[in-house]
Amino acid sequence: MSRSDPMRSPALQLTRHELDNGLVVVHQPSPPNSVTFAVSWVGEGGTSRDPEGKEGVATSLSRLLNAGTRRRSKRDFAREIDRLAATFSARASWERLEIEAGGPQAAQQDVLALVFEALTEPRLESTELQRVRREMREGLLREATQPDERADRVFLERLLPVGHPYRRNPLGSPRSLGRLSREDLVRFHRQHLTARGSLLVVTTPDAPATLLRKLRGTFGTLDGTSPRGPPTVPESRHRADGRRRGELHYISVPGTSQVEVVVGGNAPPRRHEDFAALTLANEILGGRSVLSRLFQDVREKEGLAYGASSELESLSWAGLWTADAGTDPKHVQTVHHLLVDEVRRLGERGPSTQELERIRESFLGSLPLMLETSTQAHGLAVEVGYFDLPLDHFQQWPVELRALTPSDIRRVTQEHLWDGGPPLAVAVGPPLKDRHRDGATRRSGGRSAAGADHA
Amino acid sequence: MVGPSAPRVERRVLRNGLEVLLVPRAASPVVSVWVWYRVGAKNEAPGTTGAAHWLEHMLFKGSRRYRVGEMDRAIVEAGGILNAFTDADFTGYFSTVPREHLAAPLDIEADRMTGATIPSDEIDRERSVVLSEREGNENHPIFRVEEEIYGLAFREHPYRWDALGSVQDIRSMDREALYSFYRRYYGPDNATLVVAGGFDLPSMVREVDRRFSGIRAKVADPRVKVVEPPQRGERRAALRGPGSTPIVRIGWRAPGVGDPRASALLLLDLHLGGENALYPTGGFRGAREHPTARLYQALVDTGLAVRAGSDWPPRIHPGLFSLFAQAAPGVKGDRLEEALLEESRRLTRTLLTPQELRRLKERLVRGASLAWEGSTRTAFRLGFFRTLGNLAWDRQILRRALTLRPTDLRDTARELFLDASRNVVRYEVDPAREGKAASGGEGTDE
Repeated sequence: MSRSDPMRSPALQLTRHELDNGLVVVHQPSPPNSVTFAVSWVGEGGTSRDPEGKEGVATSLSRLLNAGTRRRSKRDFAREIDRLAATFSARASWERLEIEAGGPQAAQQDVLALVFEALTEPRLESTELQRVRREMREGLLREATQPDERADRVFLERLLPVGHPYRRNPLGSPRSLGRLSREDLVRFHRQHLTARGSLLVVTTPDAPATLLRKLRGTFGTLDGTSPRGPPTVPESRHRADGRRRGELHYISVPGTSQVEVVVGGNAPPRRHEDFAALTLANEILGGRSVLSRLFQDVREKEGLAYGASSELESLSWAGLWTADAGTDPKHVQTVHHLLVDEVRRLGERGPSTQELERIRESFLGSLPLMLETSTQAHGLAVEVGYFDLPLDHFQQWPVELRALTPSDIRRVTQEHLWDGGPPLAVAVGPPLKDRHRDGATRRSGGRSAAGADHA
Repeated sequence: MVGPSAPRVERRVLRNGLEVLLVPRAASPVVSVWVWYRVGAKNEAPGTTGAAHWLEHMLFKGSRRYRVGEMDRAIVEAGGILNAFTDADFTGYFSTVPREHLAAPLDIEADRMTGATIPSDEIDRERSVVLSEREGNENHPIFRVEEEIYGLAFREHPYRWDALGSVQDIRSMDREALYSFYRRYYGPDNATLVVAGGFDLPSMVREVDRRFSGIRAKVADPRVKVVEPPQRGERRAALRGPGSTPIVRIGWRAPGVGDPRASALLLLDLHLGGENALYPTGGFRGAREHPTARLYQALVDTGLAVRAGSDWPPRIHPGLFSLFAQAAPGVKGDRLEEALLEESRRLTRTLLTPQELRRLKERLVRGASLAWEGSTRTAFRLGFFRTLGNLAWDRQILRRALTLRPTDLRDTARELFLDASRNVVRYEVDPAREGKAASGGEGTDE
C-alpha cells in the first residue's frame, strides 16, 4: 500500500491575510475529495469580558446569535440552515466567542452570508433572552447536582482566586442572570463582535484570492475594534497556599452512583516555550491514547474506572491542566493516589526513551486522521489563527516534538504540573461511609498507591 | 432526488458467509475497518444481561495472536484510533489508521472473530470497569429515565433491558457465560466487514481473503423469536433523585425498521423532534436545539421546557417511539406531560400542511448529502444500514417517505399514539437532593 505524507497535505498550506478593516483571515485549502467547507469567526468576547455583576452576558449572546436576525425570525433562520444542509453553532468560552458553520461546498457563499448576518444583525429579542436565561438557570442547577460538572466547577473555584478570568462561571449566577437586560447584550455585541481584534478562518476549495474577493463585500464591511490582550490574571490561590496541597476535597451529592475525581493545577499558556514538551507530557500521562499511564494504571491494571485521562488546555493568558476519573466511592482514595502518583513519578523520573518514542510517534502518526475532511482539518487552522502560531506550525510540529528528550519531559512535568507539590484534588459523588465521610479532606503526599485505602 | 451521493460499494460474500463491503477512495490518507456482528443485548437472557457488552470489552483482552494490550498498541502506535460499541441489535468494532498501516486492523479483526482468549484473570478487573461505566451513566437522570421506560414498555422481549445490563447480573456472571456467548454468536457467518478509505481494490480483496476466508462458519441463529404481547393499558413509573428539573418521557410501542410504516415514523420524528434519525448528527443524549421542530415550539418557545425532543431509534424488532422534555426551572412535571400528550394528539386530529410536509421531505433527503464524507463515517453508515436491513435500506426508506401524503402521517399517528400502549416515566427532583447553583461561592460542603 502506498504511504501517505501528511506534511504534504494541502490542508496544511495555510495563509494569513488582513482585510482593510483589520479583520484577520486564515485560509485553509480543503483536503482533496472533501465535499464540505468550514468557517469560524473568532472574537475576544469570551466570558472573561462579562461586566462585573452581569456575568453570563457572553454566553447569553452566543446562544442568541442563532435566534434570528433583523431580516429573519428564529424559525426562518433555522429553516435556512436546514435548506442549505448546513451546520451553525455559537459558543462563548473564557477567552473567545466563536461562531462555527459549515456545509456542502456548493452552499459556501450562502452560509458565509448567514454567518455574517448573525454576527452583525442579531435580533436579541427580549423573549429569547428570557428563554436563554431559563436554560442557563437549569444549567446552573445541573452543575450543582451532576458530579462531573460540579467537580469541574469546584475545582476551578478552589484553584483560582476571585477575579481570575477562568474562574468565572460562563453561566453566570442566578443573581447576575436576573440582572441581564437586552441593553447589556447590545452593548456587549457592539464592543466585542468587531473587525479588528477578530479572526475568520475558512477551510475551502477556493483559492485565497477568490475567497478574499468574496469576503470583501461582507466581512470586509465589518467595523470596530475590540479590546485585545489579557485581563488581569492574579496569582493562583492554590500555588500561593501550600497548606492545601495534597488534600482531596470531597463533596457529596446524595443519590448519585459514581464519584468524579479531578486533580490538576495551573499550566503555561499555548505560546509558552514549554508547551510542546507539556503536550507530550500530557499524552504520556493521560492524553488521547489508551497507551497513556493513567488509562493503563487506573483502568487496565486496577479496573477502577471506565475512563481515566488528562487534559492540557490551550489558552492564551494562562493555562490549566487536569486529570480525572469516575470511580466507585470505595475506590476514591486509591484513584486519587494513582492520579497524583503518576504526575509525581513522571516529574521525578521522566519517561523512558522507548515510552517517549512510542507516544510521540503515535501522536504524530494520528495527523492523517485530521486531514481527511474539511471539518476535521478546520480545527488545526483555527488553532494556528487564534494563537497566532507560525503558518507552518503543524508542518514543523514533528521536528519540534522529535527534538524533545526524556529529560525535557521530566523537567516540564516537575516545573509545571507537579509545581512544588501534589496537585489540587476535588471529588464529587455519593456520601461516603465511615472515615471517607462527607466534606472530609484527605491528604496525598503522592506516595505509591500500594497499600492505599480500599474502604 | 434520492441518495445521489451514496458511495459505490464492492460487495462480496466469502464461502464461510462473511459479507465484505469495500469502498476504495484513492485520495484518502486513512483506512477505516469495521466488523459488525448481528448480536447484541437482544440475544441475552435474564441472569446474563450485559453479556454482549461485557464480552465486547473482553475482546480487547487478547486473542491467539495478540496478548492483553497488544491490539491497542498495534493500532494506537500507528497513529490510529480504535473502539467498539454494543447495542440491542448489534455489536461493532472499528479502527481507523493511516492508510499505510491497514494490515494491523485487518489482522486484529480476523483474530478477534474466533480466536479471543477471554483470560480468566482479566474477568474481575473488567467486571469493575463495566460496573463503573454503568455507574457513570447512572449519574445522569436522562439515562435512568431511558432505562426505566424500556423496562416499563417491554415485559417479554429482550429490549426491556439496557445493553449495559443489570448491576446484579454483571456482579454474578462468570467467564463461562461470556465465553459461551462468544462461541455461540461470533463467526464470519454472522458478521459484515466494512473497509473504506485509501486502498487499492484488487489488493484489498486479496488481503481480506488471505485473513478471513479460512475462518470456519459456525454461529447460532441470532434472530430473536420472542414477540412482545400487545400492551393493554397505560403504564407509569416515577423516579426520584438528584437533578436540576423534572424530566418526562412518554413512549409508545412502535414498529421496527422493516415495517412499511417506518418512513412515516421517520417523518413524524423529524417533525416533532427535529432530528434526522436516518442520518443523525447529534449525540444520543438529550435533544439538540431545533427551532423548526414542533416540540421545541410547543414546549421550549413557550417557557415550559429547556429542551424537548422525540426519539425513534431504528430497531430490527418493534421498539419505542418517545417524546421527552426537561422542565424549565419552576415548571412541574404534570404540565410537561400534558403538553407532550397534546402534541401527540394534535397529530392524530390535524393534518400537516403540504408546505410542512415538503420541508420535512427536503430535510430528510438533504441529510444524505453529507452522510458519506470521511472514511470512518462512511464505513459506519454502511455497516449500520446493512445490519439493520440491507445496504440500500436508507434509500428505500427515503423513496417511500417521498410518496407519503399528510393523511398517511395522520393515520400512522393514530395507530401509534394509543392510550393503551402509552408508557410514561416521570423523573422528579428530590427536594432534599435539590442542587444549589454553585456560582457565587465555592459551592462546597465545607
